[in-house]
Amino acid sequence: MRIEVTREEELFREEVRDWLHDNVPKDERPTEDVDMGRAMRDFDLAWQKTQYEGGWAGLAWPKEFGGRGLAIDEMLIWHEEYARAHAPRIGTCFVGINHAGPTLIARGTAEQQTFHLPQILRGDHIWCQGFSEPTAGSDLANIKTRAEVDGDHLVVNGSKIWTSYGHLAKYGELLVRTDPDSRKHAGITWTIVDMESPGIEARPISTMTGPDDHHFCQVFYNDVRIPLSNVVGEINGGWSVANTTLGFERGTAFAAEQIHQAMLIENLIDLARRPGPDGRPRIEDGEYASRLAMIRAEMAAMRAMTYRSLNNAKRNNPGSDGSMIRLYFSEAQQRLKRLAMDILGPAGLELSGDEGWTRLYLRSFSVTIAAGSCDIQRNIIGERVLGLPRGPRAQ
Amino acid sequence: MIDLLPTTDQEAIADGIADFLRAKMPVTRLRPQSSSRNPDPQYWRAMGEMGFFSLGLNAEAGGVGGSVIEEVLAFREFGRFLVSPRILGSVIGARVASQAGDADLVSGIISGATPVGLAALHRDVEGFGFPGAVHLIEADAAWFVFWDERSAWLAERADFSDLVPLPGVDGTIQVASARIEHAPRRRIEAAIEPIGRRAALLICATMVGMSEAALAEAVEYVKLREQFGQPIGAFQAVKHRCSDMATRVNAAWSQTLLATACAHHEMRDATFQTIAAKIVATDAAIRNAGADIQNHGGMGFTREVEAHHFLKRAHLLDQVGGDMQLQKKLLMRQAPAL
Repeated sequence: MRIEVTREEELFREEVRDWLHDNVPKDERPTEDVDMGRAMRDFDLAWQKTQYEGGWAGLAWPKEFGGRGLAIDEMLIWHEEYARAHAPRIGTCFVGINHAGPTLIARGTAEQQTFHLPQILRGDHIWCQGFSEPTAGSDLANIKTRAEVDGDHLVVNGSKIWTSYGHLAKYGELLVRTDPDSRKHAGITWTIVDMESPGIEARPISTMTGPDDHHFCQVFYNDVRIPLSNVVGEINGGWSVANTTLGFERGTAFAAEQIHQAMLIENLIDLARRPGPDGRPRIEDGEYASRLAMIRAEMAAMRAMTYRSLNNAKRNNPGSDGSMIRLYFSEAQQRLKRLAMDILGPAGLELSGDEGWTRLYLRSFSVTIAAGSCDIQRNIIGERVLGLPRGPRAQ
Repeated sequence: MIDLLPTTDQEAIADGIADFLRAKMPVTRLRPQSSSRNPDPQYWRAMGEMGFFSLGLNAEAGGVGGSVIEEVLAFREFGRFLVSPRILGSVIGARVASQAGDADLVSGIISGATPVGLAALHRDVEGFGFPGAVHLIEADAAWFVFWDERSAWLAERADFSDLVPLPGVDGTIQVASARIEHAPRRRIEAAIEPIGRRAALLICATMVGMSEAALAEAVEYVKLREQFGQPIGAFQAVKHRCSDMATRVNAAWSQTLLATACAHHEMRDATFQTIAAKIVATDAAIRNAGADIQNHGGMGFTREVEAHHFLKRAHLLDQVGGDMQLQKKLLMRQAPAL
């Protein structure tokens, strides 16, 4: 058990800080409502390209795939400085950098890797994820979107939902059922799909953060032809490929988001120090102060959980604590946003900009649902960590 | 780099302590048929011989020479086995006595001959002022240790006035109300050694141990107890309560380790992280104990099950060194540096 800053870490931090200082975009990131999100996507891609040119793209990716190959401790330093520099969120580039890329690195063919990985790193395109369906959410293995093999192609029919930026993405990760007689996990195939293929229609879903958000889509696939060479892993072997992706999603990719949330509580404390609606700083009111302190302590604990989890991973001892971190993080940040609304008082009635508190509050209702709802996380903790009897599960 | 994992040597020390406690002091010793009195004084000499009260004292002071890390790992085990709070009084009391240069008192405490109780202070966020009111915990002790953010004091029983023994919330631990007119002679300023912060870390570790034991007890029970033809642990309402308990343990232990590492390396952040740890660890201990009671149904409300002890001890320790509401106020006076 130790905390120390080595000379190498100090130098690395300086390097990161200097580079971010010189390169973080000065312009504000466009919001989702500008030109249906295209301006935001182009902004994200330009920032990705800047990072690529500076040698900072694909930080966790191995060097042989064009990444930076950073160790976990260096990743944390990067994310800390990134948050301090108020660098833009990874945003629309998240799926490509944190899901599709790592999955292709782990399971893709040499051709798939050579073709796609440089494009992701360079910021040529964004990716989207076609996993959930209207009737397969938490029960993801119940997907019905059908893919038939026709010569050297898959022919896909069905629809996917909650596809972030489906209308803006060039490529997608798609889970399809290739064996209609199979049940659940067997008979699923993981494939790359060119989102500009004929037969794809992406309809934006209006959400409660609206009225003009363009984040989620329902995507319809009608006789969409996908070359078999796009399949990642084996036909009918897609479930294990999908779990590679989910593993990344629940792993270190969240460290950056956690550091960001830890900064938000400090911002909220600053806000509470300014005069409130009654002219007095909210922080002088015991109830607000108590809630602020609780969340501040929880945010500290959340980071400690992440560090310990990363320490375990580094010793090749991956714990089953990913679900606990995710659960704790989701609920704590939801309370943080609710507290922000209470501190704002009447000013909270104004629908803020993308990074303003009211918008963050509304969006916070998605964090206990997305990427495995809190209810599913609790099942995982109960059954896989504590060994409690399994609940109902179709076969 | 931040490494929060104990070394195998450190873990071995904690395992040795756990082995002793499992063999000699299982929590079943607190069941009513044994006695409604505190059973732990009879083990005190043996624990002293094992070096339990001097793990973190240096060798010149007669101690084992470990660091705060070993102490924290030990106190997690003390919490798990509901060792009487006089263990905290003795370990912290020995530290104050040692700093005060009272070698005889140190050797009395660490041998187990002179157990030390605790005082919960009636105070505000600025600290404790003399004269002042206190509640004594382990009120039959001859010595009492207490602290605020600026000082730690070790007082003799005779230093207190108006001492009135009272029925205590935890029937096995004696409580008394009292007053203290003057600051005791044995006083160590936090600037010399932050003894109060160290005590807070040991309380955190105790709270984590209790949270874990409550979780383990609850999980074991809901796997066995059947209703509607299946173990109640299969029902999401029960399962999810257990998952929340496990998550609170993870958060509290991770934060306690981070705070301990910060204190061990004398980081600027140590005080902030320790206060945060006391908040989440106290929250975990009180809520996990409540969940343990709930998971046991009617049995959880009886004295046959240990669940109530976890709850009562958590409230006792919450009041030592400033309760959760006070910790929250203290936390708002700090800023994280990490």
